[in-house]
Amino acid sequence: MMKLLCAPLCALAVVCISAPTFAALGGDASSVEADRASMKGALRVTPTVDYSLHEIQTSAGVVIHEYVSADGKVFAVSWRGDGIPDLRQMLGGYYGQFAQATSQPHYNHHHLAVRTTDVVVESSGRARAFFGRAWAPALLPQNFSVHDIR
Amino acid sequence: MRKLFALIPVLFLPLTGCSGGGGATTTTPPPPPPPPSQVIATPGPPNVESLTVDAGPNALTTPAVNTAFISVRVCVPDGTFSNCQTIDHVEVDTGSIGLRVIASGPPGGLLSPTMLPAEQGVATLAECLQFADGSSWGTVNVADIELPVSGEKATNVQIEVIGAPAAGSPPAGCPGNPENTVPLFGANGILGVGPFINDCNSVGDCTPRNPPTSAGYFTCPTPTTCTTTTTHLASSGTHPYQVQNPIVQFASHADGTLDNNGVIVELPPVSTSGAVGPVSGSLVFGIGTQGNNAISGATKLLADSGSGVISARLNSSTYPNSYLDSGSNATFFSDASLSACGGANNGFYCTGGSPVSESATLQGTNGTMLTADFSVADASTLFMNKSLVAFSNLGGPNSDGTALDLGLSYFYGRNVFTGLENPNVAPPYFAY
Repeated sequence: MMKLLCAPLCALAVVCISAPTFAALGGDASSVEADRASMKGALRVTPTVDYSLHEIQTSAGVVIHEYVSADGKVFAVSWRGDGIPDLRQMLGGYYGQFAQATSQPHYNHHHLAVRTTDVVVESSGRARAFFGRAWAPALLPQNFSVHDIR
Repeated sequence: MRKLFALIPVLFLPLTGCSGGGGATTTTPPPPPPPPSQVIATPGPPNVESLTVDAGPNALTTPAVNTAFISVRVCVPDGTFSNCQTIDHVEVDTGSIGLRVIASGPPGGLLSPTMLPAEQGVATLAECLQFADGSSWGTVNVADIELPVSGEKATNVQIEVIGAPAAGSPPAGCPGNPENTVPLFGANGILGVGPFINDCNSVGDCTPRNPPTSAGYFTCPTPTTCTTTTTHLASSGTHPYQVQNPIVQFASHADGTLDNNGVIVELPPVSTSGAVGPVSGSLVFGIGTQGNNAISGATKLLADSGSGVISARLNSSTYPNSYLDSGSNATFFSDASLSACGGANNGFYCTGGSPVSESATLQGTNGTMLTADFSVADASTLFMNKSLVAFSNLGGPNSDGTALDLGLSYFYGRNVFTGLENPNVAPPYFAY
C-alpha cells in the first residue's frame, strides 16, 4: 500500500491527491489493474447487464474475482488458490472493520465468517486449497445475489 | 437424497435417561458401541498416540468443540532426548503441515533460540503460515521431537515457534489476522499431519510470491527488519529448509519399521446429543507399516496431487474441492435449504427441531466411490449444555460452494486414514 504525504503544494489545492492504494473492495476499476499488476496476473473482463466480472489469474494459478458495478465500483471480491491474497489489498478501506471483528478468538482454522456493519468476509480452506470472498452489502447492485460471488 | 430422522437406527443402543432439553442437569445417553468394523488401536509403542477431544487448554476464553489434541515432547536437538518439555493440548490437524507451538504457551523458556537453535542458512528464519482464519507468525527453530505415548522420535525437525520474540511483530508481508497466542490460536500448538510432505512446495523451492504461498518465509536479521526469503526442499540438502510434515522425519524403529507415510485418526462414536470431554481415541502413525495400521477393509480415495481434494456429490450438487479434515470442527457445506444460526453461532447450521440426514457420495481421482452419510443437528440445541465438547452431527455453511469439508464430526465411530503424497510418484489419499 502506498500513500503520498500531502506535499506543500496541496495546501494550495482544494483537495490533496494521494497516490493510488492497492485497494480492491470499494475501489474503482483502476484499483483492479493495480491488483493485477502487483500479482503479475492476466486479466479477463466479462460484462453482464448489471456489473462486470474482472478475473485476475496469476501464474501460480491463484484466481481473483473483482465484481465491478455499473458505476465503476468494486462491490465484491473472491479468491481461490493455494494461498490467500493480502486482505488489506483485497478489502481496502474495509480492512479495519474486518481486523477489529477477527481480533476475538474463533477456534476454527479452516473456516471464518465475519459480518460487520459494512462488510462481509468469508474464508475457508486448508493447505494449498483456499477460497474466500468478501462484499460490501451497501454497494451491491439491485437484484444481485451474493450466491454469484464465487 | 435427504430424509428426516424419524426412527433411531437399530445399530445403536436405545436412548435411556432424560430426553434432553433445558436445565444444566440433563444426563447424556450412553454412547452407542463402536460398529463391529471399527477397531481403535491401543495407545503405546511403537506408533499409537493418545488422542483426546476436550475443551482445550485452560487459557482458552471459550471451550473448544470437536478439537482433538495430543501431547508432544519438544527437546534440545542433541539426539539424547534428555532435555525436553511436554506440551499438552497440541491440536491434531490433517488440514495443515508442520509442528507449530505457541512461544508464550506451556514450555516457557525451553522455546528460546539458546535452547532450540534457529534454522540454518539465513539470519533468523521466520515463517508466516496461512490459515483460513488468520496467520501464524514466528521463528523456525530446530528441535528433536518425541511423541510421549507411542515413543515415535524425530531429530532436527524444523518447527515454527509462533510468537517468538526474535521474529518481532508480523511484518507487512505477513497479512492475515494474527493468532499468535494460546487464547487466540485455540491450542498450545498444532501438529499438522496433512497430506503433503512440507508446508509450501513439495517439488521445489518455496519462493516469495504475490499473492503469498500458504507458507511464506522471511529472514529477520533483527525483529523489525524481516524480508522475504526462499526456502528449499529438505531433500536438496540446502538450508534453510521448508517446514516438513513431522512424520516424514520419524526415525526407524529398532526392527527397521518406519511409520512415515500417513496417519489414522481413530475416535469412538459419540451420542447424538453430544459427549462431555474427554473423548479418548488414538492417533496412529503409519499406514500398512505395523500390525495395527493396515488399510484392510477401508476404501481408498486418491486425491488431487496439487490441492489434495476429492470430489463429492450431495443432494444433486457436485462439490469438486472436497476433503476430510480433522482440523475442521464440523462438516461444512453450502446448502441453501439449511439456515445458519444467528449471533455467535453463525458458523454452524441451526436446523430447528429434527436433525437432517445427509448422504453424500465421495469420489477419488481414481474413480473409486464411497458413501458418506452424516446428520446435521440444531447447533444451538447441541451447545446448550456447555460441558459437551464432541458432536457427530455438527454442521455449518461453507463459503466455498464447491467444497464438502468432512470435519471431525464425521470422524467419530470410524477410522479415517490420511495418506501422505509421494511427490511425483503417488498422490495423497483418504480412506475409511
